[in-house]
Amino acid sequence: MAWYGRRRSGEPRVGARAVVVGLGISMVGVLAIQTSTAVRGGIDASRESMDGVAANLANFSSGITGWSFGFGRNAEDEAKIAELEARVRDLQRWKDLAETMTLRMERYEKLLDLVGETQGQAVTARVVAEENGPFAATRIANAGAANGVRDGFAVVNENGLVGRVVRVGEYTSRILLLTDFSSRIPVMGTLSGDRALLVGDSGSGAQLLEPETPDKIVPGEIWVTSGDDGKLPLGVRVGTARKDGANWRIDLAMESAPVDFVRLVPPPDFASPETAPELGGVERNTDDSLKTVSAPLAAVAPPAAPGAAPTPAATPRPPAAATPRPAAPTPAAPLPAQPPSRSGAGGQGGVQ
Amino acid sequence: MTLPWRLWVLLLTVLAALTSAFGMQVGMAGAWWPIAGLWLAGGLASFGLSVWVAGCLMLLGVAMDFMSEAPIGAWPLALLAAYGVALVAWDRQPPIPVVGAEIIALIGGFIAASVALGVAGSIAGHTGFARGPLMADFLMTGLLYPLVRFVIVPASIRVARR
Repeated sequence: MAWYGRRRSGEPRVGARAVVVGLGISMVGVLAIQTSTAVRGGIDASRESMDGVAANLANFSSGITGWSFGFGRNAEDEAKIAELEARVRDLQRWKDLAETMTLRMERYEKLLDLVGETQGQAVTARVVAEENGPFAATRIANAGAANGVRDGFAVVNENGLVGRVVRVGEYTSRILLLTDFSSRIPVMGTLSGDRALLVGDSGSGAQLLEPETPDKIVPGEIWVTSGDDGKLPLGVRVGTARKDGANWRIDLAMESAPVDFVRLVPPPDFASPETAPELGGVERNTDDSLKTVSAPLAAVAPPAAPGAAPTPAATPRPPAAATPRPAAPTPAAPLPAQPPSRSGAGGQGGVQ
Repeated sequence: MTLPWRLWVLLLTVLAALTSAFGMQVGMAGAWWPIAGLWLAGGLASFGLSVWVAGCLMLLGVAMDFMSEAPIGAWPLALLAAYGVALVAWDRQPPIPVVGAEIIALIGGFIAASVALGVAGSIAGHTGFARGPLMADFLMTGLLYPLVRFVIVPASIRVARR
């Protein structure tokens, strides 16, 4: 093979061999140091920017193929676009209706003094790249930190839960699918009320881990998110239960159609008990003689002795309702900075 | 390796990266998509041992790591392992026919890459390893190799070792 270089392939090349073997060993070293969280943190920073590059590369590669093989727009595409435009017009009417209903519901909630599940502003994005390799099952969406997306946002589409955001770049976000090995989602059955952990295994669907009462689970039962982790909204459809040997699996709703457009939903905005104001803003009563006057705070006040004269301390205190409720959307400390558009959003929980 | 061949190898590496990126298109996650790096590892070993090729494979591997969310170093290690097996196949003495060398390089490369990926995941402490998609991709890599070999393996080698 003298045509390709100065040496023939039969000659020993000790130096080159040493270099190639050294490269391999160095890769093992690189892999080994990734067990350190500090190193992983540094790599994650570079991955954030690389997600955008990967998405652009996929688009560029697609563009080259479309250009070179003539996979451009054709009559079928035009018809599809027209159909989608008609559907968008139709959906606009539904959107108006939904907004009206939301306003009415908010009024009802206010009238009932209902402590709802506060929900921030969700972001709609398009999936621009997919990866289903041996190490991860992920998607890349074209919305990132600049659009208000943060780590931990739930990802849903028209069928149900898709996964959650695990990394956010400036204009892209990496979505970990429910089928990924690392995915752990608390779920509950709508009929049985059973709760379990939904664990991905890169197979068909995902499996239910440690259900509380597995004998109560009904085949075909719809399972939804339980919201127990405080990170996902309550009641987002996940899929239907299916018996698989001794275990239960969930046929994921997201697998019923290709995942293209997704909605990135922020975690419910609950105030943590540590940051919530004390109920009623009343000082703790340590004086036994004053216990009967703490009626707004005490669940059951002891009956006053008959004939006992009212004490001067029986002055009614301001009602507790006049003070902020614990579940009011007080910004919790760990929450990242939210975009301005989120501040006005509120209402009952669930997917918007 | 002469400069034109180095440039050609570099171009092939870029094309392989684009091929891998094309497999990330929306709707193609479930498709069997070839691992272009294994084509290069199996085919470019016909040049004999080359640090330039090994370096290009490493660059391609790092790009694949970022694309596939793998631990950094997993795919470079897998491609280098496949390259090593392919070198053994191509440099066998006495020389075997080209087709025989290619078959050994591909199948041996698949096995070596698979083992290397598993080991890499274990070393890096990665959760889980899905062999299903990998096997499908290996199969597609092998099925399409007869087409791409005309681009990767120089004609003079194919003729000389027929």
